[in-house]
Amino acid sequence: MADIVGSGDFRYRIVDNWAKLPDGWSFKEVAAVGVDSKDRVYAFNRGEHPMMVFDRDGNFLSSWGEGLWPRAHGLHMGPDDSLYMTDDGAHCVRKCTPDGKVLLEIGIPGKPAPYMSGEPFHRCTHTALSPKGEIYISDGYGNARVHKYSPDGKLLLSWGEPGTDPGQFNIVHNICTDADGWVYVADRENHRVQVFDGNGKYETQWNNLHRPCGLYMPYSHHPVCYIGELGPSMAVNRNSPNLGPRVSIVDHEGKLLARIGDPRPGPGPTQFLGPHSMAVDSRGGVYVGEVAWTLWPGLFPNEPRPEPMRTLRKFEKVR
Amino acid sequence: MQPVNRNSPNLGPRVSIVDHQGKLLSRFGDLHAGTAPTAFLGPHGLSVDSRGDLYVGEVSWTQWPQFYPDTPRPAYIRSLQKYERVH
Repeated sequence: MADIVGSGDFRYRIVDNWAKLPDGWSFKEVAAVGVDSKDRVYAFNRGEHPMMVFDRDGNFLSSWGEGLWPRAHGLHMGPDDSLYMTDDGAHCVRKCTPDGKVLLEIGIPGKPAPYMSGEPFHRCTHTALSPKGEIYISDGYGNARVHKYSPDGKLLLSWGEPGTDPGQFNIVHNICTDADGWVYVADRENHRVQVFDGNGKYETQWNNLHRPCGLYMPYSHHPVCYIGELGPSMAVNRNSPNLGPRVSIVDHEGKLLARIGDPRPGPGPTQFLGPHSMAVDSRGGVYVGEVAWTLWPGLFPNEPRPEPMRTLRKFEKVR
Repeated sequence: MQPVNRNSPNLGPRVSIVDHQGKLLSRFGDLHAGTAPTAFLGPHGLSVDSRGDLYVGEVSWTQWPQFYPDTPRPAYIRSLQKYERVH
């Protein structure tokens, strides 16, 4: 019998080797994943084919974006199936059609703003949309900001600065929104998710997380939130159990509903290495992109990377 | 203490003084780690005397390579400092 993970209303069957790549192709690692209205799954990855598209059963459909994306990082699917793609190596965000035509570009590819200047962008990380289609961009590794843009790419406002107080950030890593306009920000190295209104006014925060990294919310009122948490990476706590990497499912107020992942990282079916992005299909199936290639040496400094590395997972919802 | 945020300002090292419910009352320390009198390297042990003066022990020797991986430790690194309370 296949492994069942999760609990309560969130129980999943692990689908082994879900993605069927063309012979000789590799993701290297899947930084971000999205699902469109037809349950096509988009794997935004750091290999030679930055976007690979699959059907719900993992059959390969197409690829695009070759040569355009130095370091895939974030993906958000718009309600019209447009893709908002963030590249932290290029310091830019692009809106693309499902077959890869670029509709909008925000930021100057290859030209970062000065480190911690607050100006867009220095290694931007992710996007989300307001109920009116305005674009929030988390920024990121070299800034401690969230920027809000009009749907056609004009900067409206920005908030945040480095620090640990409410409204301050320590690696703004992912962002998501709900139908009431709340903005949820993964403040990764502060071990929290901060919640803001659409103008950047601090509302509350969720704690009791370990390096929350990937955020996904289905667009609705009071949605649940899927949180990918990274594991310990410092020598001092590298071997401690129960710190992730794992996927936690919480309600819209941050209350824990279910959690997937063994007490320790690893390549096993019930373990994670670096859950960096999640998406959910129309049947409740959860896809997890993992930056396993990048994180492996931090988790297992004395072991070579296994080949191939599993970096895109599917968890089929048990009904 | 990770390469990803080593250069970010305003994350400590610092000393914060809070009330018994955790509300911030005072904070000192520069925006970055350092050896200046107003900066810290690793405030690890604190104590206060009868006059309200604060003593801070720092694990500076251990922390140094993490902050400055390319700079050898100086011969002397401050690891105990007194802060006299202003009344």
